[in-house]
Parts: sequence; structure tokens; C-alpha cells
Amino acid sequence: MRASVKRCRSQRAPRSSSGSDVDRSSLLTVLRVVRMTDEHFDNACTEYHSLARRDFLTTAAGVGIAAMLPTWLPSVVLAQTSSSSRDIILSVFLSGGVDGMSLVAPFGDPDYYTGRPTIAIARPDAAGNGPKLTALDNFFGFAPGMTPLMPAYAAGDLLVAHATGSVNTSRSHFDAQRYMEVGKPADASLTSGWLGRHLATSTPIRSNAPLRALGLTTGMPQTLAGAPRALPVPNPANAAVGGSNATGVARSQWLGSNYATANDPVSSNALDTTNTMSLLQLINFVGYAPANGAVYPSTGFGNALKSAAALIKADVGIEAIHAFNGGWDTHAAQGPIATLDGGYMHGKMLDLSGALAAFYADVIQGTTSYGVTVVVVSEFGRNARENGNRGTDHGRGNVAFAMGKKIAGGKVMTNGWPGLARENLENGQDLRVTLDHRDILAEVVQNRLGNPNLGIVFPSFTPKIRGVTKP
Amino acid sequence: MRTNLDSDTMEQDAEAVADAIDSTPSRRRFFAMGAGAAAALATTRTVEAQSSKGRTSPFGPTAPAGSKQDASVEWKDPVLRLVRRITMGLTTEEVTIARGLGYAGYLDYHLNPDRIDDSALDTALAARLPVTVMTPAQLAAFGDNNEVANSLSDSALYRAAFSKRQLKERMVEFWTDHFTISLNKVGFIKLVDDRDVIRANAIGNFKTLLKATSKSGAMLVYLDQNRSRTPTPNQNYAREIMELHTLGVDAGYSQTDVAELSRILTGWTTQGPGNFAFDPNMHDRGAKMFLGRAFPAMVATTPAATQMAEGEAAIQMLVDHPNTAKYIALKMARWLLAYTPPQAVVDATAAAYLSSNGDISTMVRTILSATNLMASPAKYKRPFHLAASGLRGMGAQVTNIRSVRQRADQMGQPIFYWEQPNGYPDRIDWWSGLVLGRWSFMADLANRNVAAQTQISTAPFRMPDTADGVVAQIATRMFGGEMPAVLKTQLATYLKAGTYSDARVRETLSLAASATQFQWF
Repeated sequence: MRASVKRCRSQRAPRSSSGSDVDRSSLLTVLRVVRMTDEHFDNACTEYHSLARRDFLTTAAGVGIAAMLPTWLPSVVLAQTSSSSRDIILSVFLSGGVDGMSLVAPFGDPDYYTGRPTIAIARPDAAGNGPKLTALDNFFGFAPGMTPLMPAYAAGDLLVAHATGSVNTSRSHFDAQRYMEVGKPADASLTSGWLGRHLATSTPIRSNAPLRALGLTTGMPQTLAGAPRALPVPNPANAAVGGSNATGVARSQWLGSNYATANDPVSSNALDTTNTMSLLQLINFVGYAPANGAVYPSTGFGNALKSAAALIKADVGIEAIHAFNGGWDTHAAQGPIATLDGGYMHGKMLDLSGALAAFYADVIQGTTSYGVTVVVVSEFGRNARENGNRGTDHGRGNVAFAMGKKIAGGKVMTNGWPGLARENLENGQDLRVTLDHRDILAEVVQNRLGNPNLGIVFPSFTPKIRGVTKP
Repeated sequence: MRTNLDSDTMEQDAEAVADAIDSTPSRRRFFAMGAGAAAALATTRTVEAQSSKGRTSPFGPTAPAGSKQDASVEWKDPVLRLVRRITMGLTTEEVTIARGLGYAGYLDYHLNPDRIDDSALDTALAARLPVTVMTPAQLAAFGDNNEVANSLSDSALYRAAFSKRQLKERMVEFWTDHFTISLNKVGFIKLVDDRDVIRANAIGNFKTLLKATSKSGAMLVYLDQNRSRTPTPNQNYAREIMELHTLGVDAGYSQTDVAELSRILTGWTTQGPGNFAFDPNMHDRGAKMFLGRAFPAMVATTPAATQMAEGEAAIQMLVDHPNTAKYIALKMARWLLAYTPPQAVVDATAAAYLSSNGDISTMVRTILSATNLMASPAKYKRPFHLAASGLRGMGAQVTNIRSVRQRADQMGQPIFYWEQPNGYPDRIDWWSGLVLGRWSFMADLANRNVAAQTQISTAPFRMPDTADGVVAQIATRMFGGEMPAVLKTQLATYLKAGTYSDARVRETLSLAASATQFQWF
């Protein structure tokens, strides 16, 4: 099928629709691409091509079509470059409860060192050549594993928030994560996610997009639950129905009509899948060449963010991408630096920061064509003091990150550092949460995603605008 | 159960926003369609609660409004329902056994797995995957953890697909999630846990099973209990044994109870190749207060067995707790009956737990009465279950399952690799979005024809060797004779639209196994 569409792009065809019908004809085109069979091929292809060409001509302003198309992107289905001022969002959940005090350590708080005699990371001004923090200001510093994000921080595009998290005090991974994903603490009956409700209460950036949101996950993340046209797509590069190519289209059609009578969500998921499959097949993920010399780590998370970048640049109407980065439940031998206990967490941090830094260089840095905001949260932080296994148990206050050209970054935001002295800790053991993480997300939703319906996205919550974003 | 944001409210809000932003008819219509689908997802409660409103299929007219129905509506025969529910998928052999025994007799048959002769399968597996019968010491000496992991995963799918003890396999999958241990973290000792803890007790007594997991080296390593020592105990296992294994989250314990239990359990550790051991040097002998019960201080000369016994006493409190009965009853009813089982069934099952002192088969009988099962909606097969039922339904001959199993893992449920201690979700909304992986798995499986690995023979399906003959065989072999008429028509249409050939028959098998009607049990 990819070959067919490629062949089709070299044809020339007259315009067949005019401006006011753009959305409708684009949608029809997408559906026809899905439906294309041998007998329908020529007709569908003509329409497809005329639309694509017109839109390219519109945006290219006289630049040749070939010059507009990067080689890794052989065909663009919905090639009407978005003029929206609304950002695309990449949402990352660090599952397991990341130890934020290792990622971004409060070296200015002496109790950080007394509470963590073996796993605290040396001050930026410590003597010697051993691993030490890199100062973000005169109080907080990045662990060595986080320094790949220094360029984004230095450019003012990365905001670090600390002593933040959920007002719900659950130290259960699953409750805490669930409440954070649905965006309302302690409401067991709410099943849709905050990002899902954002999408459900905002017009699509492209009304004809077959897929508005995806999880780079093997199941539907709760953050996206409730989103129209959202799917888990663990590997966008492998979006095929399998079996013989000769009958692939016929079998896709068969499955589409077979699932039409199924119950939801199975039916709507299958419909979104058949609509999306052809779109994803048009994008050459394998040959994708990141911009700006960016190199993604060859890890699951690195590959996920690389796929996210390709999807964003393919400009197919994706508005939200969610990814998990797990393995942070470091009860023992957490190894926040390379030289301690094998440096488990150091490696995890390098993977996280390396992928985010590559995404920054590739998609955010120096470009104005794609408005993208990244948010990173975790279900809870970990105890202020280490346990007897050079690890940390479940805690409360934590870090969160926001990154983008319109993020007021280059600083560590707190709503007052609560302090790590025992009398200042929650239950005598945990960094208190002084900044509701929803303040960060809500400001992004309102100012970067252009959705004023904060009462629906974050029910029963009045966010405080804290200057996370900038005009 | 009520959601804060019901679908109508959400759709109205969404449409109001759409109107405010753009009122052109076409945009508004597209948007409303999207919001409808969103609302459907947002309010997923039970399968039967879903409405039929949604988008139009691009493949032609959708079914008329109101025609969408639960897959179970087509399932008239109680015995067939039971076969679907307590096995990894229908086969003609299984249906014959069930019909011979009747509903109650067939349930009895599977609730006594040790009376079912499965020696042929055990012998075959021992020969093909010799790692799976090694002792802990042999496994430690073996050294190739990768082969251990592959062999364990292979044997899990092989047993799921081909063991005669099918309900046992369904319960092994259940307990494997309930007592999740990530193979990535613990290595070969998970094989020992799977064999000697989970499988040995899958249809036994819950209290015995729970106690066995508390002394399973793999569990103690997975949840860091093996390292927990006074004066700075590790709370990981103490929390999860209450939250996930017994009481349920926040069900009658506090953060202080977590801390106190972690003190009580200090010293529960491992030695050698994952063997349980109690180390009094790691144990906190101070006084503790756990769930309202005082554990008095001990002295250094207190015998080690006595020091360890306070952990056993605390665990006994947990398995005897009425909240454990409720929590296990709810999870088992969800697994065996419905995503939202009736409260009356859960209550009866919790009562069965208490009266039978934790007997698993007594709980299963309570849940799976014919009345309960006939009233329950269909559940959606998770990928592991689907892979096994595809192998069963297509009559696969398997010599080496590895490449099929690795392909099945790509559907999203590599069975021992869920990282967090809560196990793979038993929720339809987690799984239903990933249809593409399921379809391509079946396309791959139906085309397998290598005797040394996995072979699907089309011969049994080509009797008689015509399109209609094949569809009739699919109805019998893959659907127990209860195949909806619409699917028969669709399969026959596909088969007749191309030249009749072995390849076309295989494609039809893959479509039958990919069809929505095959995804439910």
C-alpha cells in the first residue's frame, strides 16, 4: 500500500475542492486511503493527490514540493501544515515513584546530606574529581545522569518544579498513579484521564485527523482515557495487519466491517485502528533522521520519543502523545551515581535525560514550526532519608518538569522549600508537597493547549497560575 | 457505580465548546462524533452498559442503532459457556468432555486437576524444555539466565494451550498476576516460584498459597524483603502484602501498620539459590503494635524460631482478616465472572472464603454457578489467553513454541514481565485499543507450517474441501458450534471472493481468530 501511494504522488491532477470544504474533503480523503482497493485506487488517489499538492503549495509559498519533503517522510497524507497556535503535548509518566531528590538534589539543605549518608550526591563545589551535582541555582543541582538536559535548562526552555506532587497522601503506587492520571485525587469513580478530557473538550487541531492522541504503550494509559480518537500504539513503525501484502487491504476491510458491530470500546478502537494504520504506514519511522544532530538512546524510551518526534513532524494531526518510563521503584541499591552499587539509577537517569535532550534538540530547539510542550510527572517521591539498603521507600513531594519554547524555564520553581529537617517532614519522613502538580498541568492546558475548560480537565480544582508558561 | 462526568454531560460540554469555537456544520459534526466516542471510553463501566451510538464505519453502513450487543447474547448453551470461561479456548475435544460430564460434572472435573492425567504433556515439556525441571541448585549452576527466562515463558504458553488441566491454567494466570514477580528483577528463581508455589497451590487453599509466597525466594527478592534489616527496615514487601496480596488498598491498615509490619518481618530473607531463611541478626526484637495487636519485645537469646514466628503470626492475621476475604472474592469474581461482578456474588464468595478457611475451589464453585454464569456478560481475552486460544482453536501441532511465543509477547502481555507488583490489568479499557497486534499475530499464526516448530494443518478444516465446508469446520472447531450467523456469512464471503486455495483457507482461519466474536470468553 505504501508503494501505491508513493506512485500516486508523482501524478498530476486538477484541484477538485475549494477552501470551505477542506475539512470534509480531507476526511473523505483519509477514509478513501483506508478504503482503497484496486478498483477504487485511481479515483481515490487523484483526490488524495490534489489535496496534498494544494496544501503543500499553500504552505510552501513557491518552494518546490520536493524541497518541502524530507526524505524520511515519503508521503504526507494530511499535508496542510497546521497554523494552530496550540501546542502538541508530550506527556511522560515516570512510574514507580521517582526519587526526585536524586534527579534534582537540594544541596542547599544540609538535612539532605544528613538524611542520606550514603546516597546523597556531592555538592557542585565539592573537592575532587568524583561524581557531583551540577548547579541549577544556588540550592538545587542536577545529578550527573541528568546533565544532558543542561542545554535545555540553560536556554530557558526547561522548567524544574520541586516539592510538588499530589495533595492525596496515598503511598500506594497504584492509587497515587491513578489519581494523578485522572487528575483528581481520591476520586475512585472517575475513569477518564486529564489529557483525555482535554482532548474531548477541545476542537481537534485538524478536524480530519484519524488519530488525535496515542500512547506509546502496550495498553491504553489512563491519562488518555476518554480522548476521542486515541489508541495505544506500542510500535508505530510496525502498524500492519500482517500476512500477505496482496490481501492486506481486503483483510483490513473485512476486519473493519466485522468490528463495526462489536461493543465499544472494542468497536471504536478497531475503527480508529483501521483508519490509522494506513496513515502510520506512510511514515518511514525506520529512516527517520532527527534534526540538529540529535541522537536518541537505543532504549525503549529513546525509541518511543524518536517515534513521537517522527509523528509530530509528519504533521498528521496528533495532538497528544503519552509515554511511560518505568523502573524507578528504588527500594534498594538505587545507585544515583555511576560509582555506587552499579549505578542503576544513574543509568535510568541517563536514559531519561538523554531521550528528553534528544527530543529537545530534534523537535523544540531552534524551531518555530512545531509548538510542542513536554510535561514529566511521577506518582510520588521517596523518603527524605535513605533506608538500610541504600535505597528509599515510598514518599511524597517530588520533582516535575515542563519543557518547551513557551515554557518559562531555566529555573527551579517551588512554592517554598518545605525543608528536610525531621520536624518539617510529612509523617516525620517525607518531603511535603507544597505545589499541587495540577497547577503546572493546568497552566499548560490553558495557555499552551488553548483549552479554557479547566473545570472539566481538572474537576473540583482551582489552579493557580504560577508563571509556568510565557507568552 | 457512578462517574463524575457522565457521557451526556461530557458530550454537551464538548459540543458547547465546539459551538463557541467553530459553528460550521461540518466541523461541528466531526467534532461531535469524536466526543461521542470519547464519552463512550470515558464512561466504560461494564460491557453491557455501552450504547450503540458512535461513528459510522468507513467500510459501509454500520449496524442499525441498538443492534450492538454483548457477545454472550449468542451463547445459549450453559455447558459451552462454562468451557469458554474456565479454559484457554474451545476445542472439539474439550467440548466433548464437557458435554459428557454436564455443567456440574465438568466443573468438578477441572476443580480436581490432580485427577486429570497430564503426564504426556509433563514428559514432553521435560524433554523439550529441560531447564523447567531443574532444582534451584542446578538452575544456579546452569548460568544461562536468558535460556531460563525463555524456557519458563515457553512452558507457560505451552501449558496454557495444551494442558488438560485448563482451569488450573486459568488460575495460574490469575495468581501469577496477583503475586506478580518480574522475571527481569529476580531471574531464574521465578521459575522455582512458578513451579513450586503458584502451580502447586493454584486450586488449593489461598492461605497456604499466600504463606508459600511469603517464603518464596523470588517474592522476597522482588519486593526487597531479603534485604530488610533492623534498624532501617525496607517497607516494600510489608506494604504490598497488605495492599495487593491480602487486605486491599487502605482496607483497614495505616502507614504506621506498614512500618510496624516491616519491623516484624525483618530477618525474612534468602540464602543460597533463593532459599528462604530467617536471619535473627537482621531482626528487630523491639516491641511492635500491628493492626491493634501488641507484639512484645524479645531478647537476644530468644530462639530464632520464636523471633520468626511473630512474622508468621502477623501473616496469619492477614489471611484470617475479613477484608482479605472480601478482596480475594472480588478479584476472583472479576476474573471468573465479570468486570463488575454483582455485589451479592462477591459477598457470597467472601463468605465462602471464611467458611471454607480459604479454599479456592469452594470460592470458584460459588462464583461459577450456572445461574451466575448465564447472567454474566462476556469478558475480553487478554493477549496471553488469546494466543493460547488461537493455538487451540486452529489445532496447532507444536514441537518448539518459542517463535510463536515471542510473537505473542508483542501483543502486549509477555507473561512474567509486568514490572510493577500489581500484575497485568484485568480491565477491558487497557487491552481493547491494541487490536492491530492481535490481528497480525493471528495472520502470522495461521500461516505457520513448520513441523519442527509450529504447524497449523488446514486438512481438518477442509472437510469437505469447499468454502462452505471450511466455514462449517471453523464453526465447530473454533466456536463450539455457536458461531454467530453474521460471522459465518462474513467468512464465507471472504473465502469465496478469492481463488480457493490453502493460502485462502489460512487467511480465513486468521480472520476467524481475529474476528471480534473470537475475542470474548
